[in-house]
Amino acid sequence: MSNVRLLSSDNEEFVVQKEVAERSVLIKNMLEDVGETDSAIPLPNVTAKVLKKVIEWCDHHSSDPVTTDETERRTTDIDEWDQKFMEVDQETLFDIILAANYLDIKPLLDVGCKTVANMIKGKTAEEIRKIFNIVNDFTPEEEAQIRKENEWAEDR
Amino acid sequence: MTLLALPYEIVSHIFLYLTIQDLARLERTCKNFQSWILCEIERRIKTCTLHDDWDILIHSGSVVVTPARFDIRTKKVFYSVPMDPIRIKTMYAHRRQIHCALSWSCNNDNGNSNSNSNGKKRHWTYDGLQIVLEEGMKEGITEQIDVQGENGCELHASLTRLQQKQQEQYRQQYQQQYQQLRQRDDDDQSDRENAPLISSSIAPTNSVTRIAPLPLIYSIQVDELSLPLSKLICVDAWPMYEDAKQQ
Repeated sequence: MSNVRLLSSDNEEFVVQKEVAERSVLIKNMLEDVGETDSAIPLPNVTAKVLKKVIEWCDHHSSDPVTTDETERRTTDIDEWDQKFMEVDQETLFDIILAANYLDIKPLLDVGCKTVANMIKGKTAEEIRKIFNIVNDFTPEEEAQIRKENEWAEDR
Repeated sequence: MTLLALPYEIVSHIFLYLTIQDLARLERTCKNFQSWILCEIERRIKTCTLHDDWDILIHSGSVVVTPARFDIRTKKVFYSVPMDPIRIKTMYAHRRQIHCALSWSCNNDNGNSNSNSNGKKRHWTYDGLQIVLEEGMKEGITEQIDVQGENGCELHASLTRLQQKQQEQYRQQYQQQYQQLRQRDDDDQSDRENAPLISSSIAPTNSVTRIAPLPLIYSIQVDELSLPLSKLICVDAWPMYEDAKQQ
């Protein structure tokens, strides 16, 4: 099986199996365009730290069937391995999501977005602010107005 | 990197996994989220992913309403009501209530706590809306009426009492049609022999003196239905009764 060389934004090179690299639609299209090549594929939007994580995910899921059904992909729960994989600090989590979006790896993007959604589900506005370090820029009057309008949603 | 620094295309992807209640709580965190969330709610309303079918029964006509817009200021969902004007006839001017009913249906398998799990559709009906025809309404003038329901439901309609002139025109048209038919009947003698005779005494000719007054005719054009988002989400809490008939 042939290998592919990937070059991170901080010039670190990774050698991965073609099958694993092709989990990324971006890389798959690049390989189709350039054909067999020895030169490394530059990925200027992904750091080595994040690329390493993305390759780890692609390697684990290399034999997964490609699901084209959006609804099925979105309603499936996060499996145990993915839950563990996503146990990272927030900054890394967001970087993985951004990399998945850039590299066009939809299942990884879904897992990342579901993980963030799970961090929001059932939380109050105050709890969400605390988790994501969000600054409340509403005036007390504005906030009271929204609280009143959305009273129906406060009962979790 | 923070959540707020993510591009909107990714944030909107995260929103896909959140319920409307979660979105409402997130709305209160900051102004950025507020604007993104109101866009997401509007998208859900327009793509009908927020709820099942609503239909409205006014007088004797029923129609499925379609979500048209979401007012981010009042947080109300506006539905267009694709219904022809409804004609109400009455013999004298008096206060009259026109019954309206809102029906809502949902699949049993959508996670609704009130539902059985037999996969059938269940129906609820809400009777809290009444269009009132007030006594002494002037002819030919169209009034905009807002009918308020007890749960914040509103019906926006145009109400017109048709002019007697218009009614007279209808009557004359009818007479002309009758005369034309009769003329055709006279021209065809053989058919006329076989056909039942039309007594000239019951024919509405111009010479006939009208004894009964013409009825008053009201025309109701329902323009829009609006429901507060909160009521739309917590529809189970409405004073609705469940229809016995299940599809």
